[in-house]
Amino acid sequence: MKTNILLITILILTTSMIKGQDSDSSSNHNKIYSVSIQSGLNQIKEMNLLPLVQKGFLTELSFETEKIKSSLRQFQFSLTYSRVKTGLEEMSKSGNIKFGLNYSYNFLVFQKNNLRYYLGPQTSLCYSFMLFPNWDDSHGYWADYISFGPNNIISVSLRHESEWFSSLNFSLFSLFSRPEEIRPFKMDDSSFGGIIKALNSNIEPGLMDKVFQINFKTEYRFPVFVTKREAITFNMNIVRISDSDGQPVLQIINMFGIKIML
Amino acid sequence: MKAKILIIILLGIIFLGMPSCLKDEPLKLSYEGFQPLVIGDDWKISTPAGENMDEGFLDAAYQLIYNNERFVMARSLLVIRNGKIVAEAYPGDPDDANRIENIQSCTKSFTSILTGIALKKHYLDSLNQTFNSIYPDYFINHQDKKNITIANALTMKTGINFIDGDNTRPLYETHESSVDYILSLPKNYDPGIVFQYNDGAPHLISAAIQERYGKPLSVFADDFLFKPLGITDWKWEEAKDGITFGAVSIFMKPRDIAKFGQLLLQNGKWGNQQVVDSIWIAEATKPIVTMYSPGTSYGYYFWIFPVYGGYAAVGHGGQFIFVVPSKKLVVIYTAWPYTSSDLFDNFNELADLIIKSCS
Repeated sequence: MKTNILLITILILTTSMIKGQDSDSSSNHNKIYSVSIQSGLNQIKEMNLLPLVQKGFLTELSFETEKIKSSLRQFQFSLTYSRVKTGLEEMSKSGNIKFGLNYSYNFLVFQKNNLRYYLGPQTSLCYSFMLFPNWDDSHGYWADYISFGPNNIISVSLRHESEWFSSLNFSLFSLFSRPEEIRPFKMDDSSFGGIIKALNSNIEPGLMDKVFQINFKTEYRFPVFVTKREAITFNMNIVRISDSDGQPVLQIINMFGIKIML
Repeated sequence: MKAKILIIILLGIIFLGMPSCLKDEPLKLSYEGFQPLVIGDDWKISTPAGENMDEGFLDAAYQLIYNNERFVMARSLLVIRNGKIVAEAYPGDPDDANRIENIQSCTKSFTSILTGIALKKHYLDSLNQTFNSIYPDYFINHQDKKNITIANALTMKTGINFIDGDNTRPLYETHESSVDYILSLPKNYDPGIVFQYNDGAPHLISAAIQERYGKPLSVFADDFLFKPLGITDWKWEEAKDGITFGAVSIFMKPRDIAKFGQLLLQNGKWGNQQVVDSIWIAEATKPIVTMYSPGTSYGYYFWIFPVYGGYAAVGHGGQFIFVVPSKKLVVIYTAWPYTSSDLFDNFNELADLIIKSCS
């Protein structure tokens, strides 16, 4: 927690230090670069292993670009880390690392007064790797996907350069990778190459019945300096992946954070 | 005004979303007794009363594996008396009855029995035979270990500092010679002095039998142990150089594991065939190494429990094959094989109850 506070402080200070250096940052927010740190609760139920919920504190760092012209284009890179444990464990030894890329191209379909609604396609790539050494000291678990679906954005301009900005996206079609439920071998290949190979193995296509992924983000953007804005964010991500042979994995992430618009 | 309504909606979503929680589901099925399955295999089925067993103690044992957190990853418990299955249950999934799964270090006891078969069939000369005499090329660069004998390996007294937590994975993953990997580890003691339980020593024996038989230990096992017992659905992993792991990773169904236990109880005889020399079984299951934990000794890859008058193959996850000759009793307990040892410590509690059930 102290680390998070320190990081947030550094981010805020960084914002003021680089003030005036970014030619794209202007009051009309044509192109926005931002970094954010979010913390919250990560819940995982890896049914290939056991039907208990693994819960833990989560931290996510992300970098985002937003380009607004006639359309609104968003790109996000995120890295998430959390330690999790079940109710039966006294100490957490398990962990989850997620690497995510997201891109959306949104068209302005409605605008009235201070409200704008955008709709467009989005794609998400997610590698989520989990280790539960108390429960399985020999194998890794993963829930990886690249998904395609619609993205909805509602933006409400408020007084004093403030803005409420929310997005909701979900997957319609995905390619995904999950470990086999029955692994008739004692150990995974733990070399870097072996892990990469595993994370991209057993790739299956699927619709929403196989990969249900919904992501809701909302943020309150407000000015902190003359030409700079920051945002308080909330993000909820729900994923359920079920392959043809194995048991599903479910994950719910709720997190709050702060975004620094550079 | 519309903006305010929208903000209220968004706050509502956050408010509703925050407490969204996944729920734990039961790890086990509900307990419905221990009536053996009728699946038409070779096993005879009986009842506790039919074999002079106290049903109450058996019930307590099964309640334990269904309801106690310390048996959280239990998969099967089979009780066999007088050669008949008296009690059987699969707490996690009924399909576990038909699924082969890793019995982990219970494998070592199979390697012990296979060593006895190899000696009887003269693929190995004697317990005092050195590995250097079987595969000398491996010792060219490891002359300090050339005196290690088969007996040293069977009693975990090779003197090689093979530490399971650190060295098992490299043994599993090495693309070089797995035997060379073991021999390249430091020698802490001269052979025959200090007991150090490890996965390396049984691997040396596996390599020795392979060298002499000309085929991996898994094939040797199939030819001389599994086929005579009618065990057809199994798997035994091998290192990347093709040497079967002598210490771990036989995958087998619970009822087939029980056949192994019953073979031991029958002094190596299965039907009309003497599969294993009875003298070897007696030798392998007598206390040879006295352990630091009270009431336990070690034979040739068997844990000996004088207090029960029995011996056991024991594997990761709390799994065991427990044989009590005086009670004509075999108990098989299998569990998810990869659970950390922090989450299991089961043997005595179950063994106590089941022993008590035997009149």
